[in-house]
Formats: sequence, structure tokens, C-alpha cells
Amino acid sequence: MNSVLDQLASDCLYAPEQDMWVRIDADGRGARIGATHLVSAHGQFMLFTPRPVGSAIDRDRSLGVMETGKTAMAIHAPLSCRIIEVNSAAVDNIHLVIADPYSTGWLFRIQPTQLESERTALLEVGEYREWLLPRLAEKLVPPIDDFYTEDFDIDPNRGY
Amino acid sequence: MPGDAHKLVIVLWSADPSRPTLAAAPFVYALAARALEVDVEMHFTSATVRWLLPGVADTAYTDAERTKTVGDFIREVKVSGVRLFACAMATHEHARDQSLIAECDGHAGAATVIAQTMNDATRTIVF
Repeated sequence: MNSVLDQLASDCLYAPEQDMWVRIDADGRGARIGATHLVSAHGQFMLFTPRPVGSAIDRDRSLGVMETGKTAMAIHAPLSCRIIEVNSAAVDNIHLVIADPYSTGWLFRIQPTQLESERTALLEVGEYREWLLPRLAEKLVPPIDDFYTEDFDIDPNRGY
Repeated sequence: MPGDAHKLVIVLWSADPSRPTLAAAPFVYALAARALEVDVEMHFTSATVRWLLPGVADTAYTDAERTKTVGDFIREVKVSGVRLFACAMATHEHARDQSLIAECDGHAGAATVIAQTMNDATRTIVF
């Protein structure tokens, strides 16, 4: 098995186009979401700027911004939702998103608003591996910024 | 997004080809704004209009490691949906009779920027 694919968490659903994972609560009313480890291929993340709690976001629209040393990119919603919590630990320490993306590096707790119709767009881990395999090369374009270290001193409260 | 504004106008004025390391910031701001689904225009005024001449941006690195050129940024913001405009007067002064790169969406004048700046739905940043 490909070592990159082995890193995918087996207890998540995946939104393939958005490179996001989803863990839906047992009662279906809430979910925790985050970025897959493949997102790190875009570069070493330095800042995570979420939209505010309470924001209503349609599927595939922006939940916030991730910034690397060279670019900024949107975090796309895997489901239409309302943001009910932001992982403040990830805001304070972006390294969590890189080092532990499927656990402590989660990004948002959300309340899905159209789960019934959108659930079918999410893939189980096995389906996601199959979807991903022929696309790995394009997903894993090497980052061009390599100067970031865990000790890089950035105050997350300053933003830009 | 808090507030009513949904459009950002970025005016490049001093970040011209003589100082390419200054040019990264306006493009990164544009990318961040697009990531938040803000409508973005970049206006190249004064000598910054030369970034829109063929070959100029592709040889100007924005970082000491020489990993990313202004041309890379121009293509990246275009893909993200940013519109690029050359100041008509600056073109006359700095790029007369020269064609502009394909990524440029056309010419705009000072009045275009001022009219948008006076609109409550728009915010303007000058670099």
C-alpha cells in the first residue's frame, strides 16, 4: 500500500475535491472537520484564519484561509453548514494541522444544514484511496517554501 | 465576513520592478481576499504597470531563495479570479506602444479607482 494513502484515517469520510475529512456525530446533528494530510503539499502552513463562529457556509465555499510562506488559499467546506466551533489550538499553533491532521489538528465543528442530500458526495476511506491513487502526483506537488520551522515566531493574533 | 464591503481594490504604486521583493505582498493580499470570496481588482499604476509588459514579471524574484517570481504570482491570482488593470496614464508614460501580457484585463483610469473607493461596498489598499 502507498505510504501516503496509509496515513488516511479510517474513521473519517472524505470530501475528495476539497481535500477535507469529516467525522459526523452519531446523532447526525454535528460534525468535526479538518484538512487531509495531503493539504500540506501546498506548502508549510503558517497561519490559519477561520471565518467567525456562527457563519453559514454553502458546500465548497470558503470556511477560512490557510497561508503559507508563498501563498494563501481557501479552506473549502465539505458540507453546507454553520460553524459552531473553531479549533483555537490550531489557530494558535498551525503545526497541529500538519503534524496531527486527523486528531488534534481538526479545524472546525460544524452543524451540517443539508446533510441528507450532500452525504452521498462524501467517500469512505477505501473509496477515497481509489479516487486518490491516480491523482496523487498532482496532489503532492512539492512545496516551494522550505524555510518554515515549528519554532518560527508568528503571533496568530496579529494576522496581517 | 464582518462589515458590508465585498470588493477589494488593490492599487500598486510603489512596488515596481526596481524593487521586486515589495511586490509579493499585494499579490498575497489578493489571494487571501479571494480565499475569503472577496471580489478583487488589482490596478497597476505609475511604474508598476511595467509588471504587465511581456517578460518583466517572469524574471523578477520576490524572495531571496529565488523560488517565486512576480510572474508566478500574476498567474496565481488570475487563476483565483482576480482582475488586473493597467492604468491608462501609466501605460502612456511607462509602456507606450507596447503590448501588455494576456493576463491583463484591460485599461482603467484614476476615476475608475476613485469611483469604487467612494462606494461603501469597496475597500482600497495601496502598495
